[in-house]
Amino acid sequence: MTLSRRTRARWLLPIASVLVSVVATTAVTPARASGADGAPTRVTWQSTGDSFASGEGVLGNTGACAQSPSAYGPRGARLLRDAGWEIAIETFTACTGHLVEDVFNRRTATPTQGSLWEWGREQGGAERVDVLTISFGGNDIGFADVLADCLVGLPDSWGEFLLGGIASSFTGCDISEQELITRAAALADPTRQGCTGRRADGTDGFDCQLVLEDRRGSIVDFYYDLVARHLTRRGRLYVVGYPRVFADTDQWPAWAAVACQGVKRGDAEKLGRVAERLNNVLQDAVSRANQALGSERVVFVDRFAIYRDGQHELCGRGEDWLNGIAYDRDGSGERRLETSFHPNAAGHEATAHLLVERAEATFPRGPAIIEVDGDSVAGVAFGTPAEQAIAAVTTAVGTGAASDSGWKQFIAAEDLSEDEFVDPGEFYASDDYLGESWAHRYHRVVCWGALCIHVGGDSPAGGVLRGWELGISGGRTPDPGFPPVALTGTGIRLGSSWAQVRSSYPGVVAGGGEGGSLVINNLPWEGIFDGAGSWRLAGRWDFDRPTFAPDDAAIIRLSAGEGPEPNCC
Amino acid sequence: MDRRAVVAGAIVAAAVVVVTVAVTLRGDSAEDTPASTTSAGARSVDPAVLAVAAGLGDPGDVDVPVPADDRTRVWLTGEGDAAAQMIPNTELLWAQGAGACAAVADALDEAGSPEDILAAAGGTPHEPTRELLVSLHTLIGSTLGSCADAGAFEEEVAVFAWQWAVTERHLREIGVL
Repeated sequence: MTLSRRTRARWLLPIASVLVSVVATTAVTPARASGADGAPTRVTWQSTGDSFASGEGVLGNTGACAQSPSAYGPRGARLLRDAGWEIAIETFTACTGHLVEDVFNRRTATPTQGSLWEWGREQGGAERVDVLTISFGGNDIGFADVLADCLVGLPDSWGEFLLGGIASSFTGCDISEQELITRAAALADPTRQGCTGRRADGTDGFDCQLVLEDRRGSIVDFYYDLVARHLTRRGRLYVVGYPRVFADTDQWPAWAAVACQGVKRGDAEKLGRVAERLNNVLQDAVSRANQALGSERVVFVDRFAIYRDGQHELCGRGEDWLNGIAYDRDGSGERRLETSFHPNAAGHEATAHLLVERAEATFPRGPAIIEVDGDSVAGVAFGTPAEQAIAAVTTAVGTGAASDSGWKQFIAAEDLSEDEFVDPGEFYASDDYLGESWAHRYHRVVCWGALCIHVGGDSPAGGVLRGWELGISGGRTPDPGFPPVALTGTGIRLGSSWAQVRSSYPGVVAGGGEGGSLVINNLPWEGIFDGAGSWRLAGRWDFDRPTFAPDDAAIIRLSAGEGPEPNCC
Repeated sequence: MDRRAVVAGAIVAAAVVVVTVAVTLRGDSAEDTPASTTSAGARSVDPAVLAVAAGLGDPGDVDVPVPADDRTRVWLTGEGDAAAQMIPNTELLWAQGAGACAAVADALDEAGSPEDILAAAGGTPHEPTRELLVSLHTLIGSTLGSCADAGAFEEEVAVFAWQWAVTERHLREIGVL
């Protein structure tokens, strides 16, 4: 017997509904130049999930993960490129049979033997991605086993049927509709804590909390963690639901009065109700995750709806968007029953268009904004190893650095030829106590247009990200609009007005100036002093009103963290 | 285990059930007992009549679309022949009821394993024809699985009869049988 045991690759079952008109409309989206019309730029994209995301049902799928480039994730990325999106990095880690727990934990079926997330990094994926598409949940409630064991679980010979106890349809299986519905509900609200096993090997009950990255929790927690830990600040998580496999039985053709694809009416109706419940659970979990996140970062893509509304389930009146019983994986004659009851190429194409429609409606338009704050740049925290930080910022900016000082060894204070005014413990850029100094022996500054980052430490190998500067620096006159950088949360950037700064950070005050600029004091975090200030405005300093700045004075310098600072003006 | 022995106890009872159902439907005279109406061979029970008993309507009223090309016929008379042979390989059920279960299983095994025959059915190019054959495959399994239980067999075989009758008529129509 080759198919029916739980050691086989798991399948999923489907569910869902919607938008034939939307699909038809988006299918003819005209091609535009990359980044045109405010389309997102430098997007990092990862498609992951189970067999309903990998393309298991698409003729020509390949590998242990049964992946197809026609699966909705990679297909959606291509459609968005045609629509003008600039997708800089794309990875595809959906894998048949996989569960939530496999996203951050090793699963032997993964080609790299690592987790799905690690696999994405090995494909060159960013540490944080802008678009993450997923389909998970079907395997987590054991729906795959229901299909494998009950619908197409076959004995080795016909004679074995005579022995009794072999059910060739859902009716005869030892799992009830209520049990499956209970499992679906437990995805969002696990009823048992303290479990230590895993679903993949059967050591966890379906009522257990899911195994997440470094904790256990519900699928709501899963969505929350993905957004909080693995998406960029503009990132969106697209949760794609499951279609129902079989159409409402009142749609079935007359010749399917008894069964559709071997599944009897009553069984199909049961499976349909379970699938709809699963879809509803996932949709509700998306809402709950957004509530916890405080913003609409998770977007539900209702695959159930487009299948239902177009009657594209098996034995529906529309074109079938799923395989029935199917063995042909790639036309080679290789027999692979797992491809049965999975979305086919037409189903993935429709889902890709729905994904595109949702992404166009929800993903922030315009160029990628690199966000910076008091302890990070582009999501890279201070303290991150230097090379890793430089690579991450390079990815975020989308181009190589315009300048790189390379590692420079500073001079210890005690080694200066004139040490009367030095600060013990500091290291100096040159044998000049009035020159730049900081607390580390090695320094390197890397710049992309107006943005520079400082890395340093006791050795190049031990160097870490220390700080960032934006604007006037070292006599450079970069384009203030490149790269597009803004302060996290407030959107303050080079060129923002004093009125905007004061409104966003009520504690700040103008505090004197130098030539044509005004210093801003009482910053929300420590910054790199350049001889005049850590943050500066362009404006004439009024000697008689040293804390006054006109509302239209504009930001010309921002910084955070550590960087070499002049010992004196 | 000898499966013939397993079902032996059910054979007589099941056969009686089949005949009883048929007689009940068609009247109590011997000449009203449903008999073969096709050239496929003599039958003591007409599956079409059994199908009506299942409440599924007359299988003769069901219109099944025919394939637009010859690929389906070529498949089912060639590489996928085992799928089409499900019809003659199960016909003995109409003559002998549950008493034919073991012989039917043997005939089917001769044609191919359940997976082999499902693969043949699943490879049928024409969707309605494929659906008929895949469902027929499922119903053979559930019918054989009920052979040891006269009551269950009565229910299963009636449903199977409907599927069998519709499929047989369709395969004849498209030149496979």
